[in-house]
Amino acid sequence: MKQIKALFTPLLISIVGVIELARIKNAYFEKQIAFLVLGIILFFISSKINLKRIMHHYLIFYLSGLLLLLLPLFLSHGSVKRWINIGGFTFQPSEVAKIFYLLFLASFFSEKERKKVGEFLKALFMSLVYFGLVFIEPDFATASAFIFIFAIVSYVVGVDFNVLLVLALIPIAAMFSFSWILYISLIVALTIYLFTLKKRRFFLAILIYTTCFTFGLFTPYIWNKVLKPYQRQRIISFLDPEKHTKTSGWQVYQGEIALGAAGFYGRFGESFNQKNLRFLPAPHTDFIFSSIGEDVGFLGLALLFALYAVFFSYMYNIVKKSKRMYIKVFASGALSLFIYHVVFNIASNLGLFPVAGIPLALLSYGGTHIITEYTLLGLLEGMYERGE
Amino acid sequence: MERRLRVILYLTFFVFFLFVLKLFKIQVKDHEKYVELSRKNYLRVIKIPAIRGDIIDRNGIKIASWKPIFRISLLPGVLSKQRIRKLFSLIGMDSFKVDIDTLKKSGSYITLKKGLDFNKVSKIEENIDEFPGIVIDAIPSRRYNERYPSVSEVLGYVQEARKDEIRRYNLDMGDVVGRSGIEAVYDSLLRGKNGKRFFIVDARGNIVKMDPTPPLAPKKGKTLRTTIDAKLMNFIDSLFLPYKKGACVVYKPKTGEVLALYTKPYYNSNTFLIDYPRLLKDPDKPLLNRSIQGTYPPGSIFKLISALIALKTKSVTENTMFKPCTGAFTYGNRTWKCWLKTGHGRLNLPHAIEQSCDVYFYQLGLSVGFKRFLDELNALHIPVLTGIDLPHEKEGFLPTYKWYINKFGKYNITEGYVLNLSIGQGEILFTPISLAVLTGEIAQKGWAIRPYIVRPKKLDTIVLNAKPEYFEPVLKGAYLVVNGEHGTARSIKLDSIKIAGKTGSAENPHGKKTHALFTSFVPYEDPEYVITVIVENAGHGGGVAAPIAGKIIRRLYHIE
Repeated sequence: MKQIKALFTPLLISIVGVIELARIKNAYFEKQIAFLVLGIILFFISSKINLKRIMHHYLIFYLSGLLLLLLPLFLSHGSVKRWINIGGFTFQPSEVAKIFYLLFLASFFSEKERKKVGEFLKALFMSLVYFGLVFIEPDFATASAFIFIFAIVSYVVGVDFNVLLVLALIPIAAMFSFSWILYISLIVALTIYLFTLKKRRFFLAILIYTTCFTFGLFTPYIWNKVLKPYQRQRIISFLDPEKHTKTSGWQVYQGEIALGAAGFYGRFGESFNQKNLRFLPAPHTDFIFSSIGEDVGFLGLALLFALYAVFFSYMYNIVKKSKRMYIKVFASGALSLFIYHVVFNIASNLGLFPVAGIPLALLSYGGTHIITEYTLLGLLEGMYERGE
Repeated sequence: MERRLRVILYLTFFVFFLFVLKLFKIQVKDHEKYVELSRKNYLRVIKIPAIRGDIIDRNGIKIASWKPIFRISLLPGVLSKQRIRKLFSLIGMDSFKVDIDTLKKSGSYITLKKGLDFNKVSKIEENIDEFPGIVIDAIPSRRYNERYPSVSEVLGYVQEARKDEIRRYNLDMGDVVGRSGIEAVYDSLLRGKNGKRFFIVDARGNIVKMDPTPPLAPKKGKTLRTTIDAKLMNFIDSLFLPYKKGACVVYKPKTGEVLALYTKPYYNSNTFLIDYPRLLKDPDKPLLNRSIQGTYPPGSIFKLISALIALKTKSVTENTMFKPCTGAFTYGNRTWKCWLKTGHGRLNLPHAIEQSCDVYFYQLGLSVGFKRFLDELNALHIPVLTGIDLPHEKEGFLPTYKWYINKFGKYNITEGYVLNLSIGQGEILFTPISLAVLTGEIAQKGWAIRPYIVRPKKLDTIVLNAKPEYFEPVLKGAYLVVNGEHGTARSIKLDSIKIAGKTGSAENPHGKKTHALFTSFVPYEDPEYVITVIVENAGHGGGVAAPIAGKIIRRLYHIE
C-alpha cells in the first residue's frame, strides 16, 4: 500500500506523458506503455532488493557503474558512442550508471569523516572519471548530470560550502568571462558574499579571486587567440551536437510558438497546431514539455509543475524521515537527479538553456530513462520502508 | 542535512516559479502574438493573378484578351539546394534571379516560372512527391488576337514589372505591366486586382488543407473599348502589301476617334520580348510606330498651309493669279522648276492647289514675304504634337525665323528661302497623325477634336488660328485635287461621294524614291473621315498614296 502511495505521483506524471505521446504518434505511445509497465515491474522488484549488507563497500557500486560507462566506448560504433544494442534494444548505459553512481555516493558519504576535504576531493576525482567517460561519448548533458548531482549531494551532506564554491567557480568563471557584465556581477557578488561572512577569511578570499581571475581571463584568451575558428566550431558542436544537426534557434522558436499559441487553456481540439503540422521539433523527446503545453495551455502546465513539486516534496520527506545516513544521501542524490532532468529540460523548452538532449523526467519518450527512474524510485522506496 | 536539502528544494521551487512567470508571459500575455506566428507558420498564400482587362475594337472584337498558362510556384525554405537545382533542370531554368532563401519570411509562394509547356508540367507532376512545397496551377496570361496583327503597335505589349514599378504601383512580384501603346497608357485600368488563395502546409511544405478560408477572388481589369476598327486595320494592311514601309491614319475630326493607326513594318505583341533583339537590329525599324513617331516632310500637302497663310495675310484672294507657270520660275539669279516641265499656265488659287503648281506657290510665298510667312506659320497653331493617348508621340517640326537666322546666319538669308518653304520643301516635318489632324482642322474650317484611341471623359477641341472664310479657297482647291479635271488625285474620284485631299511627294535625304503622301477627307460637304496615307520611298502621292486612300474610302462607304 505504501508502495502504491510512492508510485502515485510519478505514475500520474508518466500517464500525462503517455497520453501526450498517443497524440503525437501511436508507435511512441505503445512502446512507452511497454517501457512504463517494465518500469513499474522493476520498481516493485528493486524495492525488494536489500543492499544494506554491501552498503559500506562503495567501490562495488562505483566499479559497476564504471563498467557500464566503458561498455559503449568499446561496443558502440560510429562517432557518437552513447548507446549499445542488446537483443535488438538500444539502451543507454550512462542512464543506468546513474543508479550505481547514486548508490556509490550514498555509500561513500554515509560515513561521517567523508565530509572532510580530502575525502571529498577523492569523491570529486572519482566523479570526474564518470564525467569524463560520458563526456567523450560525447554526451555533455548526461556527463554534466554527474557533476550536478555530486555538487548537490556534497552540499547536502555538509561539505564546506566555501570549498564547493571555489570548485564551482572554475566552470562558472570560465563561462561568465565571455560576457563582461556577467563577469563583473560575479566578482561583485563574491565580494558581497565575503563581507557577509562572520569571520574575515583572508585565505578564502585569495582563493576565490585567484580562481576567478585565472579562469576568467585565460578562457577568453585561449578561446579567441589560441584556438583556430574550426577548433572553436568543433568544441561548440562537441558540447552541443544536437544544436548543429538542425538550427536550434528554429527549434526553440517553434517550441515557443507552440506554447504561446496554446494560451491559457491550450488548444487540445485544434488539428492545425504546431505538432500536427510538424513544426514542433522532437515533440516526443526534447520538446514534450512544449507539446503538452500546446494541448493543455498555461493552466495544464501549472498543474504539471505542481505534480513535480509534490513529487519532489515526497522525496524530500524521505530524506527528512529516514534515520539512516545512506538513505538520506541516496534520496538526496535521486532528488537532484530528477531536479536536473526537470529543470534543464524545461529551461531548454523555454529558450533559457541550450537544447542539450536532456529527457524530461518520467515524461519524455525513451525506455532507458523511464526504466532507470522507476528502478531508482523502487530502490529508494525499499530502503525507506525497511530503514525506518 | 535536511536544512541544506530544503534550500535546494526551495531553490528548485523558485526556479519553477520563474518558469511559470515566463510561461505566463508567453501563454497569457503575448498569446495573441504567438497565435499570429503560428498562423503564419502554416497559412501560406499563393497569388491568383488578376485577368488583365480585354481590349476591344470599336465593333467589339477582342483584340487583346487572355489565355491560361501553366505556372509553377515554390514555397521558399522547403526544398534543399540540390532539390531546387534538380527542379530547375526539369523545368529548364538555369537559375533564379532572386535568392530564394531571402524570400523565406514572406510566407507566400513565389512564382518560379510561367508558361511551362505540358511535357514539363507532366514530368514534374510524376515526381511531385520529391518536391514538397510546389504548386502547379493555371494562370491567365495576356494574349493578343492573332487575326489582327497590324493592331499590335497601337496595343503595345506587356512585360513583368521591374522592382521600382512593383514598389511604385504596389504590385506583386511577377505581375505584368503595359510597356507600350494602349497597354502602357491605360495600365492601371487594365491591371485589375490580384486575388489570394490560402493553403495550410506542414513544416515540410506539404499542403494539408486547401482553402481553409475562402480565396480572395481576383478582380479582372476593366475592358477597354477603343476607337480602332480592327478589320479596317487588316484591310489597310492588305493595301500596303506591295510596299515595305509606311503609315496610315483614319480619323474622325468631328469626334476625335481614330479608326486606324497603321504602321508598317509592325511587331508581334505576343512574341515581342522574344523578338526584341531582332527587332532592334532590323534596318526597317519595326519598333518605330510610324503613324505617331515617324516624321516626314509634308511635300506639296503643305501648299494648303501656304495658301492659308497667304489668305490670312491678305496677300492673295481666291482669284489672285500670278504670272503664268511656264514650268520654271526665276527669282534673283536662280531658277526654280515646277514639277510639270510643260507648265500650268495661268491659275487661280484653287486650281493651283488642284494641280499643285509650284510656280504659283513660289509667287504666293514671295507675296507674303519670308519672315511674315514664318511668323504666320507659327501663329496658326498647327498641331505638330497631337496629344493622342499613346506614349512617345513624336513632335513634328515647324521652323521659325529665328531658327533660320541661327542656322544660316542673319546675312545669308534671302527672300528666296520662302520659295522652297511655300511648296513644303523646307525643314518642316509632320507625323502622319499630326497631318491627319491638320487635315481635319482644314476640312472643318479651323477645328478638330483631339484624336484618341480610348474615348476620354471630356473631348478636347483643337483650333487652327484662322477665320473660317480663309479656308474656303483652300477647300475648293482640295476638292479639285480629286474632282478637278487636272486634279493630282483625280483617279480616286467617286460619283456617289465627294472626296477632297492633297497629294504630296516628299523628297527625303536618303535620296531614294520620294515618299508618297496623300491626305484626304470625305465627304467634302460635311467631313466625316480624314484619311492620311504615307508610303515611304514609293513614288508620287497621286500615284501611290491616293489610291490606297481611295480604297479605304470605298470600304468605309461600302462602295464597290
